[in-house]
Amino acid sequence: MKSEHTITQGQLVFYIIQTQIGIALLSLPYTLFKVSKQDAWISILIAGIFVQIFLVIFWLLNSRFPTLTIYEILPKLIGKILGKVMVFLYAFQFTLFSSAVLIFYGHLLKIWVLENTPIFVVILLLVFTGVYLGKQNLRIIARFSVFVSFFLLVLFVLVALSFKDANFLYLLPMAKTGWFTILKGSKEATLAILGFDAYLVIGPFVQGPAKGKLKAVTIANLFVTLFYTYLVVASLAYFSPEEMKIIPEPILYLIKSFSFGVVERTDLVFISIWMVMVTTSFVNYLYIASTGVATLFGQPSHSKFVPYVAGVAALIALFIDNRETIKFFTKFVTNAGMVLVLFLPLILLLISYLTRKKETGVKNY
Amino acid sequence: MVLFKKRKKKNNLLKKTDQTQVEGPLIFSDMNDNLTYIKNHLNHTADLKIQTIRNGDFETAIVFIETLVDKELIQDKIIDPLFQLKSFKDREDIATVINLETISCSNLSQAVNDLINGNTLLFVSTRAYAFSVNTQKFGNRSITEPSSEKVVRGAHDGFIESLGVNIQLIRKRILNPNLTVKYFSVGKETKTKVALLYMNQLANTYLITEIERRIDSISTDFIMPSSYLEELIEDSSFSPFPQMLNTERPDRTMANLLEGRVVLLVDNTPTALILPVTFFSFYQSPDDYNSRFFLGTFFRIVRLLSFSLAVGLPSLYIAIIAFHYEVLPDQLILPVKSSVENIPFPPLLEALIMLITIELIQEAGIRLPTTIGQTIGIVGGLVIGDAVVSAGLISNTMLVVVAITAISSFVVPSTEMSGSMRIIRFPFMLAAATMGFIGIVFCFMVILIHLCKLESFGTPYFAPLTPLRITDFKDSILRLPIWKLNNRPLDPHPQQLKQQSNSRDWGKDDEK
Repeated sequence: MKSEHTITQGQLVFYIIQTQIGIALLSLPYTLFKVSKQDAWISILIAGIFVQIFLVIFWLLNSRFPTLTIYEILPKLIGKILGKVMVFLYAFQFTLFSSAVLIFYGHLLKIWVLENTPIFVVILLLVFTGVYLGKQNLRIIARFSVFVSFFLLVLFVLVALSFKDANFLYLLPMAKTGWFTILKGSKEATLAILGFDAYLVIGPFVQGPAKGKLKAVTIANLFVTLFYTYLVVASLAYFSPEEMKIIPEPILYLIKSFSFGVVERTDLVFISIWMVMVTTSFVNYLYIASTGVATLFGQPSHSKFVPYVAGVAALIALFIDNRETIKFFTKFVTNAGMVLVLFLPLILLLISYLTRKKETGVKNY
Repeated sequence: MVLFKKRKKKNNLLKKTDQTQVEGPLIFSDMNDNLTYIKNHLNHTADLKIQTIRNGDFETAIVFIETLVDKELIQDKIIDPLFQLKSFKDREDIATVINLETISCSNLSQAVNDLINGNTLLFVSTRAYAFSVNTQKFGNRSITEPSSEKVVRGAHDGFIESLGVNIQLIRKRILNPNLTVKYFSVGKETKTKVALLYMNQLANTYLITEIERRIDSISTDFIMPSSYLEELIEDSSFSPFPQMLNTERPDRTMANLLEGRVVLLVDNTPTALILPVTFFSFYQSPDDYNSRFFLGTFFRIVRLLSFSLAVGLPSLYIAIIAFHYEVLPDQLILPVKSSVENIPFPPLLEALIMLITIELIQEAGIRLPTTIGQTIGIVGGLVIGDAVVSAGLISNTMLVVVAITAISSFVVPSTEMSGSMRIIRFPFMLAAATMGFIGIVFCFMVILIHLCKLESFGTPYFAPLTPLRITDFKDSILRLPIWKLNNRPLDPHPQQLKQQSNSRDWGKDDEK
């Protein structure tokens, strides 16, 4: 029944990497620095550990219901009506994530590349591209994610060039801001690390034994955490604390500062590649959200709902257009994400253990 | 599901055999009735010849279409022996004197069919049957190297218009009973012969049944060149990318057959259709295998680079000039600026003018005889190239960009792919002119999504990149030494993956 939509474990790794790495990439060091100063890199490592804990919870939940998505698990565990409401909330939450992607992407492009282009044009472009890919089945989306991951290598190399001017003294004194502040910093990274929650929906479509799935998500998390840490360390070591306070997109400023013989503004190259990452984040969320809507309506295929979900996401993105609303929206999405994505699966798992409900009759590989 | 499909297939086959038994009148015992029937049936066509021979105790009529047969053969092998035959008792008498492929038939429609195929009919008075003798003779072009797919080293033969000769060229290369040929007749009016070739026990059986199913469902009056067939059975016609490899080279065809792919040959067309293929098949040439592997790999990478140049270079230039000139380093800004400054057109228009001019020159050049072709070269190269710059219409740098683009689009060893590149270029340019780099990135993504999505007979088109199969890089993007290629590429899903075991065992022996 789901054979058309299954993906391999390798594809799962890249799907999760591509969902996580996206909009927050450019501003992550700045957002973290605002709270935990020179210890921002510890914050992101700790965030990675938290992600791992949540991934294990997701995995345990998935192991109890090997062929069901979170949308199908919900009604089974908490009753039909409440379940439907939660499914709707989940789908809406994922739609909000995709509008968050649209908002940040639109505003960044406006500031950095296309000053005179109206923001809705760039947003609609991304929406159209996203719908085109989002309508395909999971396998094709995963293939796309795998392929564009090659570009991460380019980003890695570009950032690596900054280390020749790095001053690692900026990282000292280590852990001086206090562990509580560092933990608070980790919370700031929520927007950047969200995306591993995709496992809740695509977990059942992954082939192979359950252990391999855990391994795959662990690899994805390890990669993303290390990549983020690398970015944070690079910008902390490159800019002095005084500079860090005033540059909201440290990675871009960092890249902009060096030039090659043929390319003067390297940041444009960086943004071009970053846009591909943004698209995958957007599409992956779009897929997850429209799968939810499809489950809500009892339809087997998500394709039909992709344009509607994308339309809602675009509408939200177009209405939230000033600094204040964006701030509020970010806060809302982060907190809602915390509750829905992180803690509810834990509760579900507990319910499942307490009521001893689990999927029967399915071979757990 | 599979079982069900198989049964469906069988039903189709049964129906087909029923159809081949042509309905129609049986042969009359009166010879003249037969002759009038044939004349009427062929609308008294002028090249129908009937010769009656009265010899001994019986009379025979020889019927043939003179434009289709070998007349000397008829004289030597049919008419002369008939004169020597003094009496006629039964069919055996004729069969023994005529040393040609002879069948006797009793159905007039069947006889007429044979006649159109170049056979000669032989009626004997008062007998209700006829002999159909194979006397076909078609003028064939000699086997030459295909002009669009030349190689430096390697075999220099190419397919011609005759199906029989083409199959022979392949069979000559694969002396293996597993090479299987299946004939189809396509086209209600033309009854064009189509041959399906594959290696039994190697090519995927599902693939073969699927192709048979698609060919069987063709219902058209005629298929002219093989591209008709291509469009009728390919997966997505609205894709800019070709999903079957056209080649006129028997060696390329053979190599693909041995990778487990399937070949379609159409009578009267010198091109073989190879399927399923991937994007990278179009960037391979027999030359890669005829040279050392370093060179082979280098050529392939150069060709793939040519794809990105041909598609991306004009749009990149437009984006830089129109939006992001700050990308250029200081030393480059001055020369570019000085050449662009006095041009009256925006860069997009400039690029469009030049690219369309090149398309024009190319279209004009293709059909002209070589003697006039030189004129085109002079007009195109000197007048348009040089004069257009000194007139101040087009900038120097644009000319360089367009020239590199034009050259790059001819590097790919397949004309279809070269055509797709020429088409894809234009949306890229439009996007670059409206949104700069951002537009290019979106165009790139849309093309990439399309490539991820596209399938050629169940094979992912962009393999081995999406889905990623690093082991298949060995003989697609790269060309490693032959002894490294132990497995076939996975994309046609061959029945046996192993292609060779260690061929360099002698290395171990030497060590001992």
